[in-house]
Amino acid sequence: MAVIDDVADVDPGHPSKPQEVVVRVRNITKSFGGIRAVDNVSFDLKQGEILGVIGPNGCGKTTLFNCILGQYRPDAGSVELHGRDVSRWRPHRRAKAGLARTFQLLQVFQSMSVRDNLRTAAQEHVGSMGGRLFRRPDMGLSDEIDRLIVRFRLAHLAEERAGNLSYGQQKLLDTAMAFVSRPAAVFLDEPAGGVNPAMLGDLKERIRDLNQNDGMTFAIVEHNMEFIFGLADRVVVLEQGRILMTGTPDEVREDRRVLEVYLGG
Amino acid sequence: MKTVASTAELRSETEAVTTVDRGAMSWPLAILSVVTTALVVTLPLGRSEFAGIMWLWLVALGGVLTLNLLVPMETWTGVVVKWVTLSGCLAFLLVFPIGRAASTLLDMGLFAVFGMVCVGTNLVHGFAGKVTLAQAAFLGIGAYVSVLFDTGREIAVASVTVTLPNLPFLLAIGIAGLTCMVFSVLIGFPALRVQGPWLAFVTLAFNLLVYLVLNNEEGLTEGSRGIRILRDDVTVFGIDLASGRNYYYFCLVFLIAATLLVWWIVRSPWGRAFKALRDNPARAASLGVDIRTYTLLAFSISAGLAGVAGALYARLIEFVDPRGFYIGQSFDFFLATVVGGLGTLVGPFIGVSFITILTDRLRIAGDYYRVWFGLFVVVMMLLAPKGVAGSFNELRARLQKRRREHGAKET
Repeated sequence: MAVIDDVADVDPGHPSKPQEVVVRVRNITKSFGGIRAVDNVSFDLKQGEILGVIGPNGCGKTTLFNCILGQYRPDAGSVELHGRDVSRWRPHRRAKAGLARTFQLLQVFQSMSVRDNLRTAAQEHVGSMGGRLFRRPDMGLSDEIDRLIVRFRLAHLAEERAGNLSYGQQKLLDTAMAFVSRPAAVFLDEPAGGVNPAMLGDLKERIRDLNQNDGMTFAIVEHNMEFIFGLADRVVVLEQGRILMTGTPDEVREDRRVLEVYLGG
Repeated sequence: MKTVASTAELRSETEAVTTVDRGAMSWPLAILSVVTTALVVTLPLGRSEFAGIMWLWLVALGGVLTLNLLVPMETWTGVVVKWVTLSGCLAFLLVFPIGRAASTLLDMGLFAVFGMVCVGTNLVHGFAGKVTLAQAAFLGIGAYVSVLFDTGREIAVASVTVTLPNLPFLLAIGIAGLTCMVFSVLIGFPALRVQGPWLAFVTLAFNLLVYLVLNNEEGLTEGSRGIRILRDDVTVFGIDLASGRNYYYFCLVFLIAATLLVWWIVRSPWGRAFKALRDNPARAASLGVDIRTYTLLAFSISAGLAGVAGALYARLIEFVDPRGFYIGQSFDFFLATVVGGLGTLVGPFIGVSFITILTDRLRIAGDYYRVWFGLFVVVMMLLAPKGVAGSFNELRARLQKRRREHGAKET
């Protein structure tokens, strides 16, 4: 099987979008015991693009995200945000610097209201630690948060406990929490997982809206091919921890190696 | 739906969410609330026995709580009932000590001091979700530090003899609190590496360590003989604290201040960060919440409160010895906070009322005291798994939901 190792400089690109690199991932390697979960992965995430990351189960997609965002410390490799090396930073510092994410499993604060969830997501990005004790409880963020609530169609649920929401609504909230701080890049880990088809269109619409109107940059791990091919500008295919290929959705769809990986052909 | 709505549109939609219809005021209910609360305040007057009074108080408090259940909190009536109740409770604590025997005042003082510890425990356990079983150690450190610094004692550690200064009581209280904060940060760093029950073990080990030091460093602490320190020469701002009643009020001021502090923290962005830490630390970190700093903050604030309480405790019982700060005492604080209701502001008060009543009632049981106490906790946890205040809140939320569904059906 052919494996392309160094594809970072291969760039099909998107003609209408600027090409400044936001996140530069270089040679990330992470092993668990004897298993190389991520093996020498490099790619660039460019300003304003939506990058899809796909691959069969257990190919290291989530581990890769965890290495980039600091949940895991990789064995080797580096992560740069706007040219600054953030490889040794703890997760909260990367988040403050502009790397936002969601997790594969639902991660909202169940006991808090929808609004408080978003406030929590926003508050650490403004002011100082001491200031946070003495500022107004809403940190002067209410307007912005309410706007986001409306944008994600959660207005009627603003004061509801997050734990009382339906799964799809919680997923929307989870995704909204990643945007509230206006991050430089957003990493979504299976945003479509477990969301019913009706809401899926909604979610896709929100992501596209934020990408096109706010110029937000995305990297999205996804199993739902239809969802990701309809959204991404570029797709990275992982297989056994390595990058199998990078290309536009059309190129990936028609690639023989990708078919082999997915169908075991 | 359009992709981007205009600001005006957003605003109108937002306002529809934020404004609450408080409805009309229900005077009969408000008057009923005032009457029940007045009963709560006045029922115990003229009775002398501590436990009897506290039972009566709890029964009357039950009436107030029921009333709170019946009235939706978001209505004007609910707001009035809530504030009447709160000021009633405060009035009780103020009126209570009038004409009491010294022993009852001592019990009430213990309520205030232990209440302060539990308010702190609730912050770190109930809000920040970190189980701590070292509160008695901080109580002990606070007690000994204050005693060492405001009596001009001579101490001998490792063949070096030092005469400590004789500082004013208030200053000694402050030093006690600060010392505990420093200690809590020191144990906080290693303790941060572990979670849940393991964290409880680490804090428990720390408590044991402190107990052993207090018991064996005789040059510093007089060991198991303890130190007798009378209150007769203590005055603060010209107020003579030798009188039991004055000293109770003095402790009460600290309890109220501690409660206000925790209330302020909990409603500030810090409080949200603490809750985020409790609900899901990994997610909190991914949103920029510095979990290490916030955990240490929660730890040190609660330790500081326990330290201040310790300084007050030493002068309250006018005697310190290591047995008062053994791990059993930490369990008492832990259980009181859990039984009262974790993560609620009134929970610690309810829990501490229970433990002060029970310690008073079960004194005759001697060594079997903890058996009965344990049994009581088990029964309480079966009846109210989220603690008294927590289960109460849950019940209220359920009633509210039912009312809302009922209202929706009618319209």
